[in-house]
Amino acid sequence: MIKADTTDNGRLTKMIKITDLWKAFEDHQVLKGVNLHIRQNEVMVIIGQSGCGKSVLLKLIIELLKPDRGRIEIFGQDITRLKGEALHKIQMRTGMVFQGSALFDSLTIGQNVGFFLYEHTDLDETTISGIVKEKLALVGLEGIENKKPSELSGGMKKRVALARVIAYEPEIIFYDEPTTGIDPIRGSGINRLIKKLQEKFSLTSVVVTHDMVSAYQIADRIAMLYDGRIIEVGTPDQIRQTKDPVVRQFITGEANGPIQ
Amino acid sequence: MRVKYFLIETGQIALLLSKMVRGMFSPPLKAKRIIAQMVEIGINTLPIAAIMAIFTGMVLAVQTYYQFKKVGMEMYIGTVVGASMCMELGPVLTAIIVAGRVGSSTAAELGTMKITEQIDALRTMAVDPVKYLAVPRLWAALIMLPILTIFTDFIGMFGGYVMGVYRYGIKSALYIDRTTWFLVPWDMLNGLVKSVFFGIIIVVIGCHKGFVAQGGAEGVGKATTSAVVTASILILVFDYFLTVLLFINRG
Repeated sequence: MIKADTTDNGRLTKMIKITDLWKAFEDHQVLKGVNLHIRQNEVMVIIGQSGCGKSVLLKLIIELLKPDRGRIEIFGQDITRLKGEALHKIQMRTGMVFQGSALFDSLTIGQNVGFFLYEHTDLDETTISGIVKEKLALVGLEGIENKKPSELSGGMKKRVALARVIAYEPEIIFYDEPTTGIDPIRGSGINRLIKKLQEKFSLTSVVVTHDMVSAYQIADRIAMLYDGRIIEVGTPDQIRQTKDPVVRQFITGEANGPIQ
Repeated sequence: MRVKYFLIETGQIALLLSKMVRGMFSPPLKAKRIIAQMVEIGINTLPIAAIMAIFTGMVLAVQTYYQFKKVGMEMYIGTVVGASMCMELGPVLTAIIVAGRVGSSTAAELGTMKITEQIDALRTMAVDPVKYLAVPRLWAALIMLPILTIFTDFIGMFGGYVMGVYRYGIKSALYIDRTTWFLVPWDMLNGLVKSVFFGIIIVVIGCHKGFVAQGGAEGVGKATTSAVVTASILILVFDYFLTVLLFINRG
């Protein structure tokens, strides 16, 4: 089933392959044929205007939405055709950090971070609480296992959400606007954390954001989504020197230009 | 357009119910979560259901006495109170109270989880929201609603007994005799069968309204109101049809 895209040692070099992806809501065509390849161990940052369909693209990749047309291959399997157990297996190898953190507010921080392990493994309470402690320490939090999410600040919630995802050590992590809603200093803290985890667990990360500072800080490659298509992909340096007037306008934040 | 939305929603509810029923019998079932919901639906509802039942039983006795005294049939108060409580008022009023307490809190909790992406978070961690959130509630309702109804039946009859014996001076033995005289086990069972259906209605409607909630705090508010109103109306409508069906079967 796994076609091409493999190196000599058989590892996939393209973790995610999106081909001709279309999605419409009612009569609003959001995605008009998105093509994007995401390599193993890279941080791919997808930028674009608010409301341009970045989050929709992300939701399609993590199977919260179904595309109208097109393929999304993750680990060499077309997830748009998968259902039930087969899909769960892919989902267990990927993780998502939501914009609003989406911590379960009826559970404690410890239960949140250990959630996946409680649900999908037979590990006992002490083992799980050990893992929870370790992962919380990794994101710079200690001794908050028994607190409820409502007692934490926005920045801390983001960190807990990160800990909840790395608790089960997925191979790909998706981030929806990781720095939105927190101050620039905490934001850079989150960016550093994304980089640190990336290296520690040799992850592949996909970050959706409109925050260019954050994009330059963490990206190996940047892709710009505009008018339902990916119009440019490149390293941060290539993007900085772009000739494309649309990308140019977006990264410099000019009010006048092709984007109205 | 209204008809279209009504049909779509009916279809969604039917689909949700079928998923929930399948989920009820597929492992793993977490007993802890079912028990937590049983406490919420059963034990936490009991005090207010008991107050409802005792006053309903007492007022039934007062009204029946007022009417029956005219024809000298006061000793039959127990018969009327017993039959009314077990066949109609016990199951229906209990269900309405549970719809108000549990249907609303289910819609509010699931609705909030929906709009804050917690339901999406469950799915990205390969946890089925229906299995995790809806199935334990359905199990709990199926077990607790009949039990709660048995309690309210007896508390209601006790309320009637207190009025009949201590207020209107009917002899205790006679009151009990007249209560059990007409009240066959089937009548009581009929009420319990109804309560099982009411439990399904409350949980399915509450979960559905929560799962489809959208539009922030206002949306959660609407989902909550709509869950209580829809469940209450469905309880009354189903009560009629179930009664007709159950009595036809009795022959």
